[in-house]
Amino acid sequence: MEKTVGTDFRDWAVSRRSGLRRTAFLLSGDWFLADDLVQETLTRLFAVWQRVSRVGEPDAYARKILFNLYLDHRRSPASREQPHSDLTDLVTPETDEVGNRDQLINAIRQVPPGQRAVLVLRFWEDLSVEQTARALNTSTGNVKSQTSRGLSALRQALSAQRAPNIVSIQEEKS
Amino acid sequence: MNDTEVRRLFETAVSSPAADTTDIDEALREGARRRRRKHRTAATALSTLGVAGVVVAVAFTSARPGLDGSVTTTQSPPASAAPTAPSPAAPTAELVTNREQLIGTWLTVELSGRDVSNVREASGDPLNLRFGHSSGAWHWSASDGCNSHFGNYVVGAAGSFSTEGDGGTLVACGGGLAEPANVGAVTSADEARIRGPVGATPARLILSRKGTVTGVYDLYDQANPGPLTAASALTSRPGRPAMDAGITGVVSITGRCVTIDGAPTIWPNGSSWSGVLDALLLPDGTRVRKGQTISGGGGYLSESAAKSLLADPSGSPSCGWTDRVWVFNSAAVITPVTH
Repeated sequence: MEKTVGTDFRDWAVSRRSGLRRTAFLLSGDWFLADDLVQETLTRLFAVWQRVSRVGEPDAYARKILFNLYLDHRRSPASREQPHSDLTDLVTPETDEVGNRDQLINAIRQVPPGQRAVLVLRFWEDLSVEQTARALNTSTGNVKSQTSRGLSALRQALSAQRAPNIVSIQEEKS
Repeated sequence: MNDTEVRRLFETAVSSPAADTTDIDEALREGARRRRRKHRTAATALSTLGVAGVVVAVAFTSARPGLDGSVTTTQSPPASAAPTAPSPAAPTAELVTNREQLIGTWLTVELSGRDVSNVREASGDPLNLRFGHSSGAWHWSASDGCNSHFGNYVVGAAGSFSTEGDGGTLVACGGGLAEPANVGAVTSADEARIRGPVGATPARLILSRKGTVTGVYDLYDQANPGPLTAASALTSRPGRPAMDAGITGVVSITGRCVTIDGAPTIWPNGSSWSGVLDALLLPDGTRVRKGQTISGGGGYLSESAAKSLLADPSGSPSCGWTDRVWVFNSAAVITPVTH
């Protein structure tokens, strides 16, 4: 029984780990922290795997664990993120592509954590406003306002990073 | 900035991932360790509950008669009925916004994350939750394993769920209550969701409170319970008999009796037929279905000797008595040979 459960979980984890890491990276802006978040997500998920897999929603549950871990981490006083307006601590870009990517990551990190979580759920995980609200245990109205503020913050951060060649900055359509 | 542009931005940001340092094997080991620790904690809590064996009755919350006209006092939801562990809220399940959607008998599968599908009420049936509509009232009922609880339920157009006027019987229950959480799961819920077709199997009901699942249920199809519902099992008196032989054979239904290879069979005390599960439930919780080959300790006796062992000779159905009656030992460990 335990072997079967472990096999099922392993199959699921192998197929989802890469996606979870990318999502965690978009949230944290740090591949090491992203791996820590994913590792803890997988651990917590396996502890309840039989129940979660029976209900049939392991993806949603994993996402919920990951986002809660991230938001809890962000609330921790010891983990205050200090976004930088410049990239002096980062590896010097060797190409425009690398430089642009680092600028993007830095811009994303400047979006407040709650708004960043909403943006990742809405535009990376492709969740609806209602699904995002459920995932974050908040209201749909809050999701809409956080989305608007998050996009505005991202737009400003990108402008500050002077990375308009990555995305065309347009006024958000009402 | 539109959706596509944001997504393209995100894709660019993650386009060069660092080496993966996550370890699935470590997650398996640590997750299993945490699960075992959680189960030990739950087992300790249940043991404490059993020792206490105390039922606290409080005054009926409203001066209305019980739905079945019985004496009505209310048992407050025990502490153990409260959700103890976060569960997925099953976002794809549809929110129940109409009381009619809930009508039916739902078999309890999980309570606050615990698998209770093998737990039986005193009647021998599995734990369940019933919603119905009669005499202008929308009512629910559930058993804690000993006492019945009931009341009305309300479903808001926006998806809220609540119960009101909850009451219940209050009879003495030796050894405490089996599953008080089966009642607490519904009285504490504030939302109901159904996944699958409404009103038809294999629908699944998920009750939750503030996003945490309190109970998971599968719809029991009363309209099509299966051909074996009317069967029953002959059982022996406690402690009898103890024979040295073994019985191996195929479980079958002969007339209204659960038999081995069609021959009358007396099962261990505590066995019962569940029309809901369409299976024979053995004292240790094992389910035995028609067509399964099983094996266990016992032997065969003559009709007269076998009848003298019956727990309820007067209430037993006719099982086509023969000179050879299979009788399982009272403490027999009956194991399925085939599934």
